[in-house]
Amino acid sequence: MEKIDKYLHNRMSSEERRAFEEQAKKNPELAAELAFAKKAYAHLRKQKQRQALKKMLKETAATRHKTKVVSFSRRKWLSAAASIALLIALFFVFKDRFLPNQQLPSYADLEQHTPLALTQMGGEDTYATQAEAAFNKGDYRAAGAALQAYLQEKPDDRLAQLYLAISLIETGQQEEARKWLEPLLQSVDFKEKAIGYMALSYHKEGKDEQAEAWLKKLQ
Amino acid sequence: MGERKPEEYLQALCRGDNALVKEIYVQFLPNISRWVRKNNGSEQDAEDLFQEALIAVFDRYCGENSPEFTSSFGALLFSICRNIWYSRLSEKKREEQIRFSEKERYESEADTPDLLIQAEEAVAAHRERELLDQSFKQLSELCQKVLWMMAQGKAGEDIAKELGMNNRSTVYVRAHKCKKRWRSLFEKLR
Repeated sequence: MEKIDKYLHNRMSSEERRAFEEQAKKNPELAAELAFAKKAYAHLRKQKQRQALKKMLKETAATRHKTKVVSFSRRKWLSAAASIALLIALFFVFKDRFLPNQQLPSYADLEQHTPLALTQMGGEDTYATQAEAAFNKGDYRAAGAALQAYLQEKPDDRLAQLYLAISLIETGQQEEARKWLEPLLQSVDFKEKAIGYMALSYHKEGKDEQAEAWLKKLQ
Repeated sequence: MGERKPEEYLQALCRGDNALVKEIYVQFLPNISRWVRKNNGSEQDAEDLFQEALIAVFDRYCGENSPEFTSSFGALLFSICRNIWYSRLSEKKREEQIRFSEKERYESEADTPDLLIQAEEAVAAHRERELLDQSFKQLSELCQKVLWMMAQGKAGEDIAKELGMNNRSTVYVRAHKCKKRWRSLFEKLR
């Protein structure tokens, strides 16, 4: 059901959210479906980091064993582990937050960006994985550059467009960000997000009147 | 090397900081390993258990809307390990072989009701994530791709284009069916 997805991705107006929550209260099957979708999607968003952690723990255990056996090369192993650390420390976790229900989001809420994931399996060094790693550790300049390059290959990817706009907002390029947000206002799936970030971009320029006007469109 | 603040260890685990995770091993594994070996397990059992407990902490505390972390990191890890080890032994009907009299560092701390509950919740979250993973892998490749992209918040139109489907409504219909199938597979495993 499309409504569940719209609800979970904050693509509903406050009024639609309220109505949907009411509907779920009265319909236990819908409530159960919503609860499952919520945990299932949260699981998928963390899947890559979870797999990376499992892999890292296995490697740590293996390194420990070797360190024990070949004690004279302890230093060597430590430096190897440090290089592995450099390679693996790509996964940063931001607390995902759904915006509070039934009220306008605050600017602080708007600055809680959901981690970016453009590819299902990590590993390959592509613009997509570079963009994910940079964005998720808060290096928005590098994320912006990687997303620009990614969009050369996939100019229609709206998720990438949105995250490029966020990266531009975070690096002080508000006008450029709004150019990317503009077309997203026409997308059924991205309208609400684009409005929120329009507001944030004006707020960052100190133009709070314009920012408020955008926020009100979320009502 | 002294113990760091619990939240430092937790953040290291959440963001996959290899150097600090190694420190977690040095700091907390020996105590757990001693306890496992006294309770009918091997060094290898202890290491496997320790890894599982760390994933359980990740599953419970590194996600969206996770509860606040208030425990001592070592005591929580110990409590989770003990919880998993007891259930594993009782599956093998060896619970009588656990030497309850053996007291270790963290053990009295790990017996506080709060910590027992937190450990149980972490183990439950971990079990749920493992089952979600197992049932997800039973879905068709197309289902997996559609759901994964939906979860990341990709637009319906873009998913359609990327996967060669007709339009966004086809995507939503397919996603709905896949989610339903996933849920039923997940319920069966529970």
